[in-house]
Amino acid sequence: MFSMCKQTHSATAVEFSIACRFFNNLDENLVVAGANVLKVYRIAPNVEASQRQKLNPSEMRLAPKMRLECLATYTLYGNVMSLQCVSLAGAMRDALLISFKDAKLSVLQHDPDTFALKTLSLHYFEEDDIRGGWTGRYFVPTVRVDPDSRCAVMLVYGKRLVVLPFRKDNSLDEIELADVKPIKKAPTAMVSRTPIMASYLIALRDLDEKIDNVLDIQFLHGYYEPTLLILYEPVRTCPGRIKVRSDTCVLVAISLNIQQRVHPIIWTVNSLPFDCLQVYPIQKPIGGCLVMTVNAVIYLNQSVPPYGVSLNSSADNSTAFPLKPQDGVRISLDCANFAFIDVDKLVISLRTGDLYVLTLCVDSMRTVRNFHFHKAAASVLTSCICVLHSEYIFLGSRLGNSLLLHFTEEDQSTVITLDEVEQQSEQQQRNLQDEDQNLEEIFDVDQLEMAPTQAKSRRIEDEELEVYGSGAKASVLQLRKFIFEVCDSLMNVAPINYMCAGERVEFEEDGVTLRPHAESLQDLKIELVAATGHSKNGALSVFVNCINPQIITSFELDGCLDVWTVFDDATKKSSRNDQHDFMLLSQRNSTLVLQTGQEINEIENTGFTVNQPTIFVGNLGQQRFIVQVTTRHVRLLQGTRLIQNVPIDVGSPVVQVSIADPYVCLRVLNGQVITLALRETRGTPRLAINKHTISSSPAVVAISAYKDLSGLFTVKGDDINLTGSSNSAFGHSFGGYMKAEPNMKVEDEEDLLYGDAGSAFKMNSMADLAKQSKQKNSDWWRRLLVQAKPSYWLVVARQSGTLEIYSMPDMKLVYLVNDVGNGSMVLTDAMEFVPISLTTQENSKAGIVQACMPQHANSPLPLELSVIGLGLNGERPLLLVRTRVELLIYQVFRYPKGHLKIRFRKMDQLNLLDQQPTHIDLDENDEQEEIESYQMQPKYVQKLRPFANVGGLSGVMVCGVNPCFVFLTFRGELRIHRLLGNGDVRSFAAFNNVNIPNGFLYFDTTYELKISVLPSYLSYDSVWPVRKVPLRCTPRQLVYHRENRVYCLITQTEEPMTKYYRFNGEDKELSEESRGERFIYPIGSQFEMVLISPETWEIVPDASITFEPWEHVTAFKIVKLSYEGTRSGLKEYLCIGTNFNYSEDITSRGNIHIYDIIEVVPEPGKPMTKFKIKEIFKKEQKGPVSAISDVLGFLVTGLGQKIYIWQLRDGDLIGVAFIDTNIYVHQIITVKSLIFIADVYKSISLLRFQEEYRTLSLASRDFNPLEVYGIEFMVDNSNLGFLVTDAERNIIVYMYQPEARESLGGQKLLRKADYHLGQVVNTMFRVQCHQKGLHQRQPFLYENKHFVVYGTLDGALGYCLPLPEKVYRRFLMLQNVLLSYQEHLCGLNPKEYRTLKSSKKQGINPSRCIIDGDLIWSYRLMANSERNEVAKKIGTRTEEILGDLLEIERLASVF
Amino acid sequence: MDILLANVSGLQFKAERDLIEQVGAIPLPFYGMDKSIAAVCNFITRNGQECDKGSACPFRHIRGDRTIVCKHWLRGLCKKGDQCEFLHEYDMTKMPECYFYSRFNACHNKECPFLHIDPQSKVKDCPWYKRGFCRHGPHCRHQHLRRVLCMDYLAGFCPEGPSCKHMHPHFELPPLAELGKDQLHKKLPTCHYCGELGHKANSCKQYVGSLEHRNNINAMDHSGGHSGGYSGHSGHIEGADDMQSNHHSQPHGPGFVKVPTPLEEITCYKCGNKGHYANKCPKGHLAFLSNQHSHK
Repeated sequence: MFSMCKQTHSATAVEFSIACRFFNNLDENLVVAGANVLKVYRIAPNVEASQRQKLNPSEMRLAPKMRLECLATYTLYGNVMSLQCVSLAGAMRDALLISFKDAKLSVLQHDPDTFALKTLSLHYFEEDDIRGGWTGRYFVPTVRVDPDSRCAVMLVYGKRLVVLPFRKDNSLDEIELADVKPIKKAPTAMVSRTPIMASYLIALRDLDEKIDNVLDIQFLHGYYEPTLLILYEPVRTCPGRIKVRSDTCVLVAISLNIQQRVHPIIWTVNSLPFDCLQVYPIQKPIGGCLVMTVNAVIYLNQSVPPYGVSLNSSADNSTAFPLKPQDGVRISLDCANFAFIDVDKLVISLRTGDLYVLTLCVDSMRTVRNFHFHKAAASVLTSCICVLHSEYIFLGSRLGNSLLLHFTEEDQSTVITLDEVEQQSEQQQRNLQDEDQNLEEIFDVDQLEMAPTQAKSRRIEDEELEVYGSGAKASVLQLRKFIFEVCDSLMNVAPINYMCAGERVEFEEDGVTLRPHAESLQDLKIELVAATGHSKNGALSVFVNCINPQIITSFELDGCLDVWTVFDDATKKSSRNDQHDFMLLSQRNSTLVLQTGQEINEIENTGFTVNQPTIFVGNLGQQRFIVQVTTRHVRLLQGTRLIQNVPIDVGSPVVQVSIADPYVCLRVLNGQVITLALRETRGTPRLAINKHTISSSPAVVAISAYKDLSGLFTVKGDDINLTGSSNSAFGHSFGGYMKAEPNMKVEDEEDLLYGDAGSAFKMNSMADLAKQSKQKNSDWWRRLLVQAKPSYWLVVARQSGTLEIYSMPDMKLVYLVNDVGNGSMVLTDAMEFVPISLTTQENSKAGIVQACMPQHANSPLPLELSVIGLGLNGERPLLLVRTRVELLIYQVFRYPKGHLKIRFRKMDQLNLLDQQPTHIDLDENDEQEEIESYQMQPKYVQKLRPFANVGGLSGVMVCGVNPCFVFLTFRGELRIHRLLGNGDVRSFAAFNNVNIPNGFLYFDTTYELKISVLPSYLSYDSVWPVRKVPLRCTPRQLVYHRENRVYCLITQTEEPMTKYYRFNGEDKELSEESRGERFIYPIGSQFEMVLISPETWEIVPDASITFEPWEHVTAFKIVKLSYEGTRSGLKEYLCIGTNFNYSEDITSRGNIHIYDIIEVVPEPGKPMTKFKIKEIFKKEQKGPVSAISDVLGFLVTGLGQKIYIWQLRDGDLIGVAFIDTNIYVHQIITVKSLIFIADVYKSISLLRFQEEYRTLSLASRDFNPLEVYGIEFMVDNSNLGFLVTDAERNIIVYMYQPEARESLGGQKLLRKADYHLGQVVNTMFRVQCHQKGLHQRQPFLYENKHFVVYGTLDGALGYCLPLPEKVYRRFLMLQNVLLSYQEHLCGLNPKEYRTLKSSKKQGINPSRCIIDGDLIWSYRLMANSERNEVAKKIGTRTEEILGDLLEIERLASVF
Repeated sequence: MDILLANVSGLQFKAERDLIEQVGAIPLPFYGMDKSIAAVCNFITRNGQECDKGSACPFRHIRGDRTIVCKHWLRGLCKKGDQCEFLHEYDMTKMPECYFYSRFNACHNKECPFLHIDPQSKVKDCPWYKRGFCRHGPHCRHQHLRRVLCMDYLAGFCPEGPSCKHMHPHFELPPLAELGKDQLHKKLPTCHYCGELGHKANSCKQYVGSLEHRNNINAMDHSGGHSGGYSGHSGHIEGADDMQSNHHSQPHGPGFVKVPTPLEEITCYKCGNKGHYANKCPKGHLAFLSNQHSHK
């Protein structure tokens, strides 16, 4: 079976986040990684354009509300395992260090030339001798960077340290160290200056024989040489063995001498608690480190005795390490994340989502005397924390939306003098001493060598207090509270626990009655509903991948070709001025003018001309005037009053108009461009023709006028230098706001260096220092608020295929791109190195144009252009180029060279045709039928329609047979959503009205004008339009009950419990446990089944099932069972399998529940209460009910170690057949009489039910052990494949082939295909391939094939599709070519990534046979010339490949 | 939803067809291997004609004459496979009767899988008593139900016929037992050697081996198959065990005709001397001592 796997929705989970100066040394960015996606964000002010003009950045004291803006997204062929950044010597920007499985390290940097990631060096440590014989075990290659950027270390295989030294400056050059060879060939002079030197390995065993099971490594601050802390557990223990062996963890510090490659151990701390998690170095001046354990926090410093506190009472019994109980705190640091927000403060995010601020109370000796915990907020469950700009904190999450928080100190600071603290601590110490004495006795018995050191250390402590004690009394410590406020959140749909397909709720035109059920697959409009998130971040996510507009009304208008909506004069209007007042419709020879208000009426006798076809209508002069352009005239109107009529008589009709207020640019059919400008002299507005023109040969084929607000379009280079870096990313380097660095007080500095002579060192001076350093960069946001002066540009495309940018109004050529239709990845200025003489214009330019003729003559010609500023305040300009077949979308980025300091990088490419033509006509056949006609023609209709506000979003509508919306919001990510209608959209206009708020109009294939709005409940700023319905509990299983149009959802809520069941010889008995106030009780679950109506996405009241306490729902499905009694046929029931798991002493048993949903008359006023749940069957079974399904009208359940088949008769289940299976069957799916089961450890089995013999038998199984997570069938006509996802993130396809020799006569399922997905898949479902719409490729290749849709725990969606053999062969060749053709980002080979990964040695080779769809789809993004080259290599044509891709894309977009 | 979204009813899967047609099935490497999780052979017909692979067929061959579920099979312990006299089908209505319930009228196992039949319903009317007189009187194990005799019937004719509320006793005793019915219609014998119908093991064509060979097979069947099974049983179902052990020892019965051996050639298993059986051994329970002694 040939198949292809493709991801359609990229992973949204966040696992790593770091603050990094990614683009230049000036701005701090946030780099976020999750699964194989790397994203770069910046923090930008969230200020609307209108407010922004009023703001004066230099006067603002507080920063405005901030948001995250995505600047770049990279998809890697490998999962990020660790992420760090380093500032290399002499570099303009930070480099990223990313490690990948098993032991690969890539050093990457932003490339300003192409706006892409550049791989600086690759490090690979996977040779067998480094592995040390390990094959199976899984190690995280942790990377850490020295705070002073002297080196980086990576822990490989848990056994060795890789040291990657960085060159600090040129003085180190003398040392004879082999340099890392740069990847690209470079002159030798360059080689000697690479900032990364050759890496070397340290075997941990050489440091100390006992170093094993490394828990964490960290660099210490403030040492002359890089000093690495290693926290490890030489001999492991576990909570059940702490009576026998406890305090097993050890911390050592090694000093790395990079030049000599020696690394002595300089410090060792033994007998740390067994549950140590992480170690955190503390910055100077405090120094030392914090060791985080599950139940305690311990401060360690080389010179002073350790100080530790216990956070709950579990620590009292589990360790002999001296710990003080921390008052008022009962937390556990299990799964917690930490980040320093100040020298002496760190934020702790617990597994419950609570945010604590831990303050280290430091005394005069700069040693930590006390800890202070303050619960600051409760937020999302985090996976990583990162502090940005020292006042923002980013909480990355896998389980919920990631948050950006702003923290400020609370004004009413509680002042605690250190005296009090000291007293407290002394008191505690006294208590502790008593305890310690008790403890010592235990030590004497247990660990003799421990006790003396403990006693000794305490003695030293006492002495110290005596010597220095008096000084400390005077100082005052301020404990400040922090306030956290949410600034922004990033949508996350991970983890997808379960998903199913349901019908979209559709209302009839009257908006009340639901449309009846679709009866065939073609009419069915489905959406994907996923149970996502965990605990309080639980939600239902409803995905669609095309927008189904909500049509308010539609009427037929024959012969109308184009439509516009314009505003009346804003100054005269009384009503809201953002509502459209006129609608103009252009017909072949005439124009219709409609006034839109409460009703839409045709108006006559206005200043609009109606007996000529209109080419364009638009607003001008801050929406005060209207300009109407016909093929012969330009008319300026104010309201309906005609002000001016400019005849355009150049012997050819006007065919295209582009407006950049106040400029109107006209393109005439014969290739001339006329520019008009609106001028107001003495209150009378006039349109004046610009005397500057551009040459009309070669003919201009497309124009776009652009008003730049981003500041990116600039010819001045000086402001770039001002920012200190030559290559900045985006428009925030204009007129850079730089504040003079505040002078540090000399006295303070001396204090710091030598300590104050008289009084003790003041703590608040330290705080001041910290504040000052904060102040220094606290005004970074002011630069982002500076307004760019608007500038005007005209972008034209010529018949020769070049794209030119002229400045308006002086019409100087500033940028020239050759062969834009080729669609190369980066568009560069062909005149970059040609100096422009200031005086001559036309003549010299002609020479340049001659010199830069297109290289690829056969690339498609651009037909339409559009440059628009999207994003917040138009800061993200996009260039859209439409050729006959494709739409190229480019983003603009700053580039320091050339006249116009920009370059373009391709973001995406859209197919515009419904069907890939078998041969692309490059000569544009319609040339010959070009008649100089003054009539409106369909080809004059612009296909790219920018809009300012449709459903609150701005963007571009791409009309045509594949209509789609292109959005780019303040989030900064390009979103392309298809519009689902009946095919073709001819023209489009935004329309805001009383009745249709922020809606739009469009003509579809039938000449019907549809007035519609975007469905408001969906969020369009995500990869797919999605709706997230928060549930605040963990959603588990989900099914759609089609008969009643309702979703049934199993939810789980967790709370601590103090009761448990105890085995008392015969039966169980409930007993209660009381362990005191500081004990953290275990978590118990409560399950519930609720009905959720898709009309409102609310829980149906009074129709839920609450399960008993301790009852876990393990299986939930809708089963089709034969009717009871006389009626024949099948009936759907809800079937739930549960399990009671009390303890290991009590046999676990479960229940089978069978329910039916019945519809009743709803209670008055509550239309939702029309559902009731009726219990059909509920009975305790002999074992846990682990899986449920149905076969031929019988119920199939996994019960203990058996699979049973039941028959529902007379309200009872009667056993029909059974079979013994392996360990724990957790999934059963059936097709016809075949039953496919998944075992937790023992792979899959295929069972067969023979109804006539009442026999359940084993047909075939996989003999190898495999931890199966999800199963589904692959249906390809008569071939049946068994798709399996496993714990190691693979997809494997098995088949039953009894003729094959290796299958032992069918006993063994054969592995036919495998693929490494890189993400864990728990849930899948199958959809039949079908075609929608009129256009069908004949013959239909995908008939009777079903594709499998999967959802991953990282929030990605994708599908696996069986391919026809011909397509498979073509793709396979294409894949092989692309593997070597493309640059491998981070040095990651896609083929290696997609190879089956297994921790066990497999006896068989990977069979592959699944095409990597992501790789194949990258073909679509390649430039035209490259595509042709690749196609030629594999002996096919580009059109064939693109045709295949298009067809698969269309098949897969069913949601 | 699946029906619309991913309908497979129109498709005929190759895997399913292969399973039904038993494509590629390889014969069992040994005879009598455990086939308890195998599918039922499609090529065995209702009238008992075997499939052409015979006992080497890896699929189960089911015969219709089993009526009681094999309790060993239920626990996955029956090793007799097709040879088992009991039903290998999960049908709880055909379970053997619970020994404790039938004997003591109470069973303390809450999840007793065996049938609990009300003893009242089991007792049948005594045919003798119905006829007029039973010599067992109150000790008869059948029910003695007192009824009024229909005078009309006694006189020769009752117009009410079978719907008469009085008793119409028959003089003829009913046929000996319902159980005997099977023996009455003489069904085809089953060969316990090859498993086929139509002949007995001693006239089996496949049987070419010696007597010892066959004995070995039988011995293997017994020791391997049932010692494990018995030890695993909880105590109270031994009543049923008796029944079961009956049928397991049956292969001896029809296997070969017993030729009486003269008493002189009989060796006593206890003492090792000839001339008497072990149960008649004069040396009592210490006989084995003398046996050992004699061997020394």
